[in-house]
Amino acid sequence: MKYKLSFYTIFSDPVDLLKNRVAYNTRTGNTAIVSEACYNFLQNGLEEYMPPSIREKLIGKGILTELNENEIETIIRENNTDIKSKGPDKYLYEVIQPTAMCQLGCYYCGQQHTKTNLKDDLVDKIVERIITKFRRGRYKGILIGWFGGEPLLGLPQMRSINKKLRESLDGEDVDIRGKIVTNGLSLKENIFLELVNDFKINNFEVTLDGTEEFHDQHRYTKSKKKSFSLIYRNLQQIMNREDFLSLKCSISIRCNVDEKNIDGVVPLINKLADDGLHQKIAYLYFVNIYSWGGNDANTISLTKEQIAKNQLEWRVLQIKRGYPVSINLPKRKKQICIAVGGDSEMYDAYGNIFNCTEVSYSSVYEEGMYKLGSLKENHLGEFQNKPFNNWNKEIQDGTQAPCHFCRLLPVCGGTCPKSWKEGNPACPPFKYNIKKDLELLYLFNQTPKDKLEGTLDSFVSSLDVKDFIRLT
Amino acid sequence: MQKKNQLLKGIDTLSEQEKLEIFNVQELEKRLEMADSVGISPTNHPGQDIINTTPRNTDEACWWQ
Repeated sequence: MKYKLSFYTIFSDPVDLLKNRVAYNTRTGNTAIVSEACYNFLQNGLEEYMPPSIREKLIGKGILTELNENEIETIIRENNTDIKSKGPDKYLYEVIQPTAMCQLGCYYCGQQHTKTNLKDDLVDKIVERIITKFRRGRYKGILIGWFGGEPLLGLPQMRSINKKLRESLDGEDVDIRGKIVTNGLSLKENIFLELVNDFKINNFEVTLDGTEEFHDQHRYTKSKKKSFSLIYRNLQQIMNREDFLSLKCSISIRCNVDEKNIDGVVPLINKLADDGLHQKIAYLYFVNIYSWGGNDANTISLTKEQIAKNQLEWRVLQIKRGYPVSINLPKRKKQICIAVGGDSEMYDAYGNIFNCTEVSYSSVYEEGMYKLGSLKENHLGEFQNKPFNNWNKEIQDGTQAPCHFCRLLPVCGGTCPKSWKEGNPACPPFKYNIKKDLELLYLFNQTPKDKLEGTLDSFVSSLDVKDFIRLT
Repeated sequence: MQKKNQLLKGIDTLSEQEKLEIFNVQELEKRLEMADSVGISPTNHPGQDIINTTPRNTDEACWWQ
């Protein structure tokens, strides 16, 4: 059988004096260190001249693939199979916004908040819709993504939905759990414990946009009051509990970055480490602020090249400070978001049904294609022709040209179809820093522990924004 | 073609052992000293956090999103 170099193989630049390179296949997620000769032969289609045992290794890693294979066809087929799959091994994932209110008035938020919580009749309709979908799909369990506004301002509604879901499925051995995206202001210890124990929420997402002086310039209340100290105190009390680790929940810290708060990132990394929270949080990650609902919040964002470089530098600092940072490469992603298919939907506090979590509470999207329907009109209705359900087909056909030709497609999937449709390329930072990521991975894994810090310092000081070019 | 010919020049004269050394492919060993991160892929846009499969475990953590 004849083979070819998989299109989805990315090579780093030479990583040592022998000019070895790291090869990474985005279809399989496998890596290997390949010699200069191996690299040259692969790049020039001469794999058949390599020793059989070497070829076998490369085939095993997916770096070599069958000559006649249409790789993008395989990728899209795998994606579609995953998106359509249901059954006893799968969970039904649903997103609920119990309220349209949030205490914060962050300037970059694309939502318009009102003091509206789910009414009792809508709570019942959501529960009935979820149970119906759960039974129809013969799922193993249900995962609820609690979202807002600030979901904890709708805690009574959350309690009601949680109780009714569990009562409806009582005695059926159904696993119901969830995650919550919260601003953290109301995340007191007792609430946290209720969410863990009663809601079975095991993933918490809280945002800190830098240390206090930076965060409070970004994330202030609607009456322009500060929020950092209260959120941070809540997090400390939770994570300093003696039983925190045994509760087995992950708390991720998101940090939205633009020119206003970029100088607050390093102090935040250091503060979390100084306060001993760095070993307890699951992730501390950094995201470039982007336009949400046409609010042009991206006008003082960093360029994609800048954020790619900064992310790498911040990751190195996290390693040096002892964060449990895992140097893993992006993994295969078969369903990029709920918009591209499947049963998942989002319900807002007005009873609207969406298949995208970026469009509720935004006047820009009020009457557009994103609203699938309303629980008030037909709470058990099924929707045909949902926006973006053809996303993978568009990629395969080349209509979504950049993704069709992208070596990162298997691990990116296009990131955000809506963003592309609105004319904003959604390429993630790793489109710009993946080759340097491979170098970092090599250094991290190959350098003796006692020399790691110096090696990482040299790596960071050698970084130049010119290194962070869009991968072609 | 010229590049290919250049690369192939002399290949036939190499022993199997020499070829194995020249075309070396090694595993990228994983450092064990560091603990893996825990949790699922981070995003505060739940629509992008597809968890309709078996809930992810600590082995599936990734930081890149």
